[in-house]
Amino acid sequence: MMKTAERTLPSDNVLGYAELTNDLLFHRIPHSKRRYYVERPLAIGREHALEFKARYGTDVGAICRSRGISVNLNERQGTIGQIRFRAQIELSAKERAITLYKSSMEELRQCAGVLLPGRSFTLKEITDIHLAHELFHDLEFTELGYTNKRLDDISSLSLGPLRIRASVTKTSEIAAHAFSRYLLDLPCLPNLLDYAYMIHSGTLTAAEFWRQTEVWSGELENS
Amino acid sequence: METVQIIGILLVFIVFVGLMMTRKLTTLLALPMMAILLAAIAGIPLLSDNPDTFTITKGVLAGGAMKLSTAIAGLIFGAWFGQILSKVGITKTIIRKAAELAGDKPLAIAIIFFLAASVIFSAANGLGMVILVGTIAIPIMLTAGLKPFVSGLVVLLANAVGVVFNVSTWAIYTDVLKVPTNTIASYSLICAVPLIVIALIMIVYYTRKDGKVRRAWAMPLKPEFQAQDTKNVRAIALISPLVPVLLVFFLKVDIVSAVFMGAVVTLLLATPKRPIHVLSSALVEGIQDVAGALGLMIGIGMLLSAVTAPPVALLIQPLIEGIIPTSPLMYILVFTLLSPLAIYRGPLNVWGLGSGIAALIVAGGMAPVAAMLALRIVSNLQAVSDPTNSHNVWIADYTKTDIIETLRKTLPWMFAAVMISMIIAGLTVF
Repeated sequence: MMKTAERTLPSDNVLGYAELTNDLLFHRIPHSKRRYYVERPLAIGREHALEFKARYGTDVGAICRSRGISVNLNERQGTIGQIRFRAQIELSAKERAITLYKSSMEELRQCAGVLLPGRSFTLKEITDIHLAHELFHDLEFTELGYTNKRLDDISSLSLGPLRIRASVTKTSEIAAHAFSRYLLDLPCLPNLLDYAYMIHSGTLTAAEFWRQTEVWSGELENS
Repeated sequence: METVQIIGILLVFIVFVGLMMTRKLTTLLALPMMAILLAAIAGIPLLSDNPDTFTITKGVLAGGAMKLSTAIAGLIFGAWFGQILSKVGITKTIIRKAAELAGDKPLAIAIIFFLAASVIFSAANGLGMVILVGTIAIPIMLTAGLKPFVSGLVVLLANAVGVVFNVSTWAIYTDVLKVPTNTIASYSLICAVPLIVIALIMIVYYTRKDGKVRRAWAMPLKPEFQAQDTKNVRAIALISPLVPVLLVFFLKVDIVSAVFMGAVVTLLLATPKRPIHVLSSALVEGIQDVAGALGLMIGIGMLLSAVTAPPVALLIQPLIEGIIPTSPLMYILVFTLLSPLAIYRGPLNVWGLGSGIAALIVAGGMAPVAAMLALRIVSNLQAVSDPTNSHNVWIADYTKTDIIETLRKTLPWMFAAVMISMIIAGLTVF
């Protein structure tokens, strides 16, 4: 845990675990393996971020251009139903394109201080965080293989002797968050901003969030 | 005089179809207005002192409002059953189980959601049910990397398949065409199998079309850890949506009783905490879900009363007889080529003029089963492609896709499904 002016920032493990709980198959992950699905992707993201930074630097916009990834700024809100899209990447043999949702970027810039007192972000920094996140997915597509496919599968459904196995897709997001954090020297995993936005928009209170981080921390320690 | 009356009737049809298709007038209002005008043109009196005289007020309006009473009861009970399924958690559990079954592959998720949602919609449909399923399934499909169009398409196609098997919507064919329920049931596969095959091909085609993999940084607007109602119901209760369909198919139980038994079985298998509250609130909310459709049925009943009244039927019948197909080939060609007339509240829409036209076609000599099948098959195209469907509007809005693009992308496929079903129907019943 990292001390800020008012609070201790959640650790990478806790924020990674928070992301893992959003996985559709989270309840199918054996308790004894939860830590594995947090720590392994964090290590993968961190390792590649440090390697990448040493080789190419931290100008993510330039790196994207040099890799032939087009970056589009979408003026639309990026909200579909109850889901808010921040950024997405479309990957194919022909084309790789990142779409950033402009209003999402602006929102996050405004609300970052909610959970990171005294820390402000410029729009470029927020944009870079998202570009770095999507850049990691591009790396997965072109070189590394998807993080979720590199980790053990879980049994997603058991019907008598029939076992259906699936990967834990959120581990790819955890690794991308870690890549973004360590490439850009962020104080914590950037999905903290998601919760800052929820607090800012009133769907969550700061007290509820901090209480939940303790729950996550406890669950992770006991796994 | 007769010629003037026929021209007047044709003008009413053309003008009102135009008004409905251009959305200048809602079908809800257009149908009763047409009924009154057609009756008036044919010389049916507005009022009469003689209680045996067929009048506009008594025969068309009052009688017509009750004409589809069996269909209306079926719709109300179907909507009630749908609300019970959602209130006890069966709908959500089916979607969650489908997601577990599909695992992490977008195409598998799309196909399994299509199948699971089809089962749900076969138990209950209507806008409320589409919203309920869509708000759970669409975000899962989007975050799994499916395009918004494909995610919406899966729900649209599932709804169309579900409607084919939804017993509560069959009653309209019993009321209008006098086809027994077990006959309607026995021909369901002719409507459904080509639709299901084409739907699966569409899902595979549109999922794989651009060959792109999508990854997104997306977050729920509300924190997942605050999500209420995350408990699944017990596995055995998941068969509940199929109970009414199976009762009608195999035990020839009538529709309302089948739905009623389905509700009882659901409560016994799911054992909700407050069963009385579930039953009563589901009835009220279910009726709200189908309020629009109930209004349409009342309007259809009025139109039916008008067009089947002897003075109107005598004028229209010669026109209808001229276009009634007399061979299997003509039957296939006419209903396939004219199937796009089901959209935009056109004259082949079962929830509009289609019912009236079908009644006249049967009166003109076509076998009721052939008319019933043609109308059901054409409805497949309408259920998926029609931009005036409230569920199409909701899905387009929810997924931020263009409703006209959905029409453009689905119409050729649905046309193919209609053609295949019509060929089978032509060879089977004509």
